[in-house]
Amino acid sequence: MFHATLDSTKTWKQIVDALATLLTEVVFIIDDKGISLCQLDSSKAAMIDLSLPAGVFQEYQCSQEHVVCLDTDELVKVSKRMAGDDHIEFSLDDDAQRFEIKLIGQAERRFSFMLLTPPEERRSSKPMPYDVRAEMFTDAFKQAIKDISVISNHVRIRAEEGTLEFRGEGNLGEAHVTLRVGEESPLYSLEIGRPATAMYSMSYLANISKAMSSDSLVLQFATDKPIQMEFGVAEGGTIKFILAPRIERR
Amino acid sequence: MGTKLGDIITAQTISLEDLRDRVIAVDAFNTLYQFLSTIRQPDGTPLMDRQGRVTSHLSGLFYRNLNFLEHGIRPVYVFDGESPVLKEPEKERRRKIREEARQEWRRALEEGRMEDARKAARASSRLSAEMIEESKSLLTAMGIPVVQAPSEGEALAAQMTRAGVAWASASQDNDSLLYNCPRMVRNLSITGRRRSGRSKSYKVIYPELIELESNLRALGITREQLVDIAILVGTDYNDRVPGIGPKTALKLIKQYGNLETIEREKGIKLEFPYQEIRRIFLDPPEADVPKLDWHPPNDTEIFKILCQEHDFSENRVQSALERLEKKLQELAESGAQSSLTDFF
Repeated sequence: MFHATLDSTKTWKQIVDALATLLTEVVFIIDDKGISLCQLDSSKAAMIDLSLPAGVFQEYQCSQEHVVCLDTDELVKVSKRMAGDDHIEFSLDDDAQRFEIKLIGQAERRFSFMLLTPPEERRSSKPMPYDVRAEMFTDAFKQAIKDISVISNHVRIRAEEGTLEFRGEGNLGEAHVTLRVGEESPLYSLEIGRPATAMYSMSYLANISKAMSSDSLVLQFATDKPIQMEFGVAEGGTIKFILAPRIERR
Repeated sequence: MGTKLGDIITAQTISLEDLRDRVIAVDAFNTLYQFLSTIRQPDGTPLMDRQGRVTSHLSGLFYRNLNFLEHGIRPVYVFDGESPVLKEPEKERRRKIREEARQEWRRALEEGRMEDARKAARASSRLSAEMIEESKSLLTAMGIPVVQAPSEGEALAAQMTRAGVAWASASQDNDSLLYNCPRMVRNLSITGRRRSGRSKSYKVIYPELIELESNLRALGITREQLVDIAILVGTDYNDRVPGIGPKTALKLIKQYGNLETIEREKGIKLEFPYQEIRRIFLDPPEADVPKLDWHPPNDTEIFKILCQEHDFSENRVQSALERLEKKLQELAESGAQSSLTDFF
């Protein structure tokens, strides 16, 4: 048995947009603590790790664990039909065969989805030893990615001594964006265990950064290791994107 | 050619960039036939050298593979070996179609029906043993590995993809899925456009990725059942069952489970050795997959094959190879996408 309500369609749209950047099928794990999801994209280069504790929802009841696998396109289509002042009700029918999204506004609209068979393997994101932890305004990150994408298909991110640098090289030349940590700076916290530099694919970062919906962002990475981008959603929910680096060819 | 499952299979549009650093096992015959049928002049005449030998396949292979390599894709070409005996009637039928098309082409030309001529010419495409050998030499000169399959090339491409030697197989028909290929790519075309039917307009075509597992899950069937559906719809080894298309076949298999039960319950008589056909797909001869190596292109050898042997323009080949070298340099500097599974 599962039933939950959410009074902000904006939150739900943000979540669905984030999922749609990487996934064609979403696998929600629904239990008494809340809804979570952890999946790799089809090329295994990137992961999305979503956590929506029960407190994110206005009403939340779940008696046992359910694995709900849905087609992302369908979710996107329904989220486009949501009006700003709708309330959303989520539920599973009695024999857990269909997932239902009810939109309550001027009319009461009900969409019911067939559940897909979930994949056997279940992922979990392991905590990784990141050497660098940066907190910044999301917009500064988005702008940096857009700037580098003018020139290059990949971005090298470097952190040392109070600066976070984004650099790209292409046919036409080079692009640099430097952020210095400071109270007035959009980069308001930078912890460096060890200086780090790593390169990441622009096509992934461009899509991921578009889906970032909060004001601030925690970015963590290490030399030639994945980068984790974490931001909040609604009250107490989090979305983490983890992207594997590009590594020099041997 | 192959099996028409298009109506029930879903594909995801991708771009060549998504295939960067990936090994793609290309169905060689399928690709060569495409070049032979499409790379033609408006009246249907293929590209030829001064001696009148067809060079459409070489032109296609050269430019398409340059494009792959420039995108950091690592192609490997899988050539068909001996086909199953059951394919003989189909091969005979294709021979006949080609022969008739050849005559129709001549007639259409004489009567000045250009559009018909072109269409007939395309259907008359023949792949000779000599063309196959030339193609292998050109690929080798470009530093691209060539693999010989014991039987159907798509079976080996599927085996290579399952083993992780290749990331996906590339072909225009769906037989790869029947051979249990986890991932296949369609429309890996260089121009990104294809003529739609006889019309003068071109349709833009994007590469598509088809994943076996997600398709089976969406359809709610097993691979064995997909093979049974294919047999009902018609494969290279049997004619279709009249009145049954992909959607009906899917419904029947979902309702009855397998061909045996359909025969028994529905009273449809299947007039071909379907158990044997199933075995072609479910249990193809395995081959040892050789270790694959990609080399930098051998410019001298490429010039010899294309320019000296077959009268390609030296300038054009030269500038294409220079562009490739520049792109490869850039690729080497930008590193390769790693996988998250390497880290946890």
